[in-house]
Amino acid sequence: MFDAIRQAAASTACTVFETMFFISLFPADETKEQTAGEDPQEAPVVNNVSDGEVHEGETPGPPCPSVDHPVTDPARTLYKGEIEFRGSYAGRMGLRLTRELARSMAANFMGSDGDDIPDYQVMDVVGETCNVICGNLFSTLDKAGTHALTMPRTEAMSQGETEDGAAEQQIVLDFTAEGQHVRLDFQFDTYPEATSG
Amino acid sequence: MAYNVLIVDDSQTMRKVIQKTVVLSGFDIGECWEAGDGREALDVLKDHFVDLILTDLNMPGWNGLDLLRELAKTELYRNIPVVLITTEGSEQRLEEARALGIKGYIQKPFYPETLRDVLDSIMEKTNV
Repeated sequence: MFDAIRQAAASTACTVFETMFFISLFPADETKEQTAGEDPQEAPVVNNVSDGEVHEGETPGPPCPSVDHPVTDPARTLYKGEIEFRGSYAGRMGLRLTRELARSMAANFMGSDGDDIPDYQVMDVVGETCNVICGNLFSTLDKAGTHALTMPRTEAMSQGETEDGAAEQQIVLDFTAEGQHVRLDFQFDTYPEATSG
Repeated sequence: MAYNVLIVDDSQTMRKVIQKTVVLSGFDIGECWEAGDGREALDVLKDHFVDLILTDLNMPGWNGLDLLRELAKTELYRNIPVVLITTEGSEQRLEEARALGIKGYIQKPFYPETLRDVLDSIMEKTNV
């Protein structure tokens, strides 16, 4: 179910991250086990965010790396962006990533070092990412149709906050980027009948 | 010849990025002004001479289509080339924008080279 949307969403997200931020997204199932005893501050940069679990495509996505995860800084904050879409597909998209990655994205996007970028601009970048991913995805899925997007909402959340597991008609995509976890999720209220096959 | 550009987008960050991208692309930019929506854009136009407008489509308040309609009403502004820089990809909306007179359209995300090609092509035609 929703295979076509899943593939299109993953492809769109990868393209957006590479084009806008020069950052490669890797599906979170392309992971390798972390070697026991590794210094968490020197954890491998790519393809290694997981706690060793294998995450199936349609099952509820894993929570973001927990406080107990060896590469997680307990003080690190998560940034979340959310946007709603209305058209032949209707629902909402959420993007969740670490503050560190969001800052890196903002620095690349704006061509600066990153240290001098105020938080509100970093959040703005997270919101714009939601906007661009959603706009591109639904333009691809339904070229002839029109989709209205709401203004993206952004917020910071603590590392310990978790959300409900995937609900019916929800797609959860997990990626790693620069050693950080990125989650994209879509909750559909309506979708074209042909999609449900 | 340096062109004076007006960038219209509700995201301040996006306006700055577009400006940087225009500069990076090598496009000959002179003065650059910003506006958060269509209404602010008209305020800028009252006070400054603009050769080219780059505008988002979906903005709170006056959106890109509202701006295009207002520009068409004013002889002083209706010949300023307008390029849409937007996430919008639906043919229906783009047709609506073309009917209102946009000279070009770039879908986000975009490369500087793509932006440069579109802008050069438009300004060449405008100067002929």
